[in-house]
Amino acid sequence: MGVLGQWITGIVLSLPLVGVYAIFAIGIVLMYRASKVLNLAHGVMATFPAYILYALSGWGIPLLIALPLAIAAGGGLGYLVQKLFVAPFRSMGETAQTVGTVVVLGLGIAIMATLWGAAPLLAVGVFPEVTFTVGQSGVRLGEIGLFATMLVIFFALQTLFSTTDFGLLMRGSAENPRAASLMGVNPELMTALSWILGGSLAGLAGIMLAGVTTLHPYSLPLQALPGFLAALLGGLGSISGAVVGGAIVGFVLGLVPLVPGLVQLQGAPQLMLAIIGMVVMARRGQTLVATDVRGGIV
Amino acid sequence: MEADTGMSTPVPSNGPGAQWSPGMKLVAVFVAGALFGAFSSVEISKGSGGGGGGGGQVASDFSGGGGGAEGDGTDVAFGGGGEDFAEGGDFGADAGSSTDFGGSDSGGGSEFGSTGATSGDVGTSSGTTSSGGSAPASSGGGKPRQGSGVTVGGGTSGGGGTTGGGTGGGGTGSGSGCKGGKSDKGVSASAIKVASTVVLDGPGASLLSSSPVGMRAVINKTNRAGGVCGRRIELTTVNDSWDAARGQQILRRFMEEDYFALTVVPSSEGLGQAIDSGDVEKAGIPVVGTDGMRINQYKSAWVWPVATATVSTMRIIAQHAYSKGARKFGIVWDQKFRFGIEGATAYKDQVKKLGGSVVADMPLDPDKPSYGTEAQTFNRACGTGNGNCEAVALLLVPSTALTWRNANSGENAGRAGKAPKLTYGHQTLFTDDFASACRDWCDGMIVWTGYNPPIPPVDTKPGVAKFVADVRAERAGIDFRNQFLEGAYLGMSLFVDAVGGCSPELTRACLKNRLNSVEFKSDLSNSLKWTANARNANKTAQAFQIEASGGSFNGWRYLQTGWVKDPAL
Repeated sequence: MGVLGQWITGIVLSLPLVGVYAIFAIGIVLMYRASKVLNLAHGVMATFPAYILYALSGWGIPLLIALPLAIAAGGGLGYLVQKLFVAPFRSMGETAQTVGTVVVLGLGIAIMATLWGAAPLLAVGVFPEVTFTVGQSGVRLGEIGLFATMLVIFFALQTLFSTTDFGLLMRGSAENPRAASLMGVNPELMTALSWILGGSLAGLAGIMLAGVTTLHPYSLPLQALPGFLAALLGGLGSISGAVVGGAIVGFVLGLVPLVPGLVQLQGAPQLMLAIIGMVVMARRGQTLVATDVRGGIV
Repeated sequence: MEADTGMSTPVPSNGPGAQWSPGMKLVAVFVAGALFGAFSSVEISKGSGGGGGGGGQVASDFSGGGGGAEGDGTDVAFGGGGEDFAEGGDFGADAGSSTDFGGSDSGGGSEFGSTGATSGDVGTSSGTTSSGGSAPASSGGGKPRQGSGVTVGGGTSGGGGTTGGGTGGGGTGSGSGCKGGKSDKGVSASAIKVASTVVLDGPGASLLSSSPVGMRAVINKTNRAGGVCGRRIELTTVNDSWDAARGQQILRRFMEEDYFALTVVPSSEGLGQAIDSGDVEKAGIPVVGTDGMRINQYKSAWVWPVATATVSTMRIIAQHAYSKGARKFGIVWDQKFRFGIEGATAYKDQVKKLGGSVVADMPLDPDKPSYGTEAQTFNRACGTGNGNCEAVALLLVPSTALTWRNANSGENAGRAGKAPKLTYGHQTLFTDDFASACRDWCDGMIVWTGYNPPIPPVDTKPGVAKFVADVRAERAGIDFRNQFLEGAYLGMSLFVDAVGGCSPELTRACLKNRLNSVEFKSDLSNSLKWTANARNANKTAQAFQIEASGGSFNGWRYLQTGWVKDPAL
């Protein structure tokens, strides 16, 4: 296989990373748009539903029933976090609200570790355990499923926000709650729905990711961290931006190991990401201040 | 379009929000989180159970050996009364310098026999026994025994000569004759305070989180038997998440506070930094029974590791593969934690020294969800099926190893090529949890340990059986084949034994001298001996193979390697 072949293979092998980081970034953007809060508990929202699915399957509940229940648990967690840890601190500003999500992160990890232990568990796979050989590596069906699911989510949300009345209400409520409420829209409800949607997406991503890695109360929540960078690179304001950010993060982390010399350099992918992030932020200037989001959600 | 102006919806003026200001809510939430975190990461083990049986008595033992011996051994026996201890406290003087800790042959009893005699001398002895029966003094044996309870014995070594031989029987050490006062920092008449950083979260938790259970198992057993000369052992553990800076900070606090020693310290990252920065040396605090395997633990005069160093294990792996015909090697290693960096370097150096070549070298960042392109690069160099690599070593924590497995399809991808098909795992992968999750991909993987795991045939050793019973008593469902759990148990046993040998006038200086002069024998590992200059007491490892088929882990198989010694030591 020539150099070009290696890179093409590398791109294919990086698609699962693109998929997972883009889904995380989409969820983060949805919640951010609704509350102007970076939900640092996103990783817990991803991991908890995966454990719920693990528990439900352990009780013999079929996957077709257990999977929606687990995803709904993610949505429920999103709702609770918004109601208990974000909304009450609104008058104190975004920093206090963000601290609230940090508390959820710590509590969530501690609770999961207490309930299910610190050992890595084999999660319930949503897809059959089939592995395709790509070059001299392999891609599991579940990993391809991650990327495909991201595409489905992306197009579904694009359609929702750009073509439906409901989507318009959510957009309007997120961008100007006062104006929306004057038009009879309940901004609180719309915010809660955004968090439920974001939590469900986090849960879906966590379930699928655990299916191709392992279920671990400490490692899995950390996988959401690059999702924040993806959301930032995408401008924190749009879903398409989140997907682009996810692609940048995924491809950098995936392709750096193919670069001779860089693979042995500790932290090389992270360094590359930092450089790209700084360049993008410098070019964007003020629009990358976290609380200053311009443009539509789509 | 405005960004922020319309977002603030008024807080309701009634309901719970009316009594709790946002600030109070934030504080309450944070306090709740902090309390939860604190309770899950800090614990003080004070043990349980009552004191020892009646008639505690010190078996003092003085012997004059030949050759200007200083014969100043003091054997302390304690035990009895604890329901965990069956008959058969074992005790005896061995030829040479040794401390014996293990299970009794008759089942249930633990034995600590010791002498402080140096090699070539026989410590004669005349121990007395207490209520549990009599244990005839013996020399060179330490075999059949009567008596009850755990006994700890230990002759204190005299300078270069013969010292008293261990002897005695099963008595308790809580008798009046053994009472001591405040003899050093962290030591009072009633307690010996020790501390340790542990790993309860983060990637390292999958292999290290059960270590505190091993430590507690020994402490509780000891405390139930009345402590060491009436002093209970009190352990404080704090979780540092395997974070070097945080660990060092916590250890510094321990050093400043009233603690006699640091024990086991499963969190090697922080300890490594504390050793490298000179904190341990400066504080002069003994760090006993460490299980972290980092190379700096084997260079400090104040640290007594019970584990085989990662560098030793990796050299042994390279040597073993070479002896089986491998000439082209691969390695997949953790580049975030120091054990990976040290071990990979040692492995590559050893391969080179042997005349082989490392054809595939893949460092991994442990936090990635997929290693597709890393596997591509590795397999291109190593080859799959009929590939280039004849031996591959995985130097990873379990969660990373499992994700690595997922990135490799096809026969032997991410592992060694065809014959001789040698895929090795470091001790970090020696857990049932990992093997169960890895299933068929790990079939045939050879995993090394510096201990005697509870796996046939060594599981029948009394000390190994006792270890399993003790840790199960602490936590019934624990993965007792986790080698870091066993290491923690062994390390704490070493501490208890050494403290027993220095009581009642327990001082750090005595502890240091004793640990540097006495051989510690146990069923859990090879016998361990430190001197002022030779810190690698455990230089050996043995191999076990994972057996899996049909999607299930079927167990471990001993490869009959015996103890293989680090070729560099």
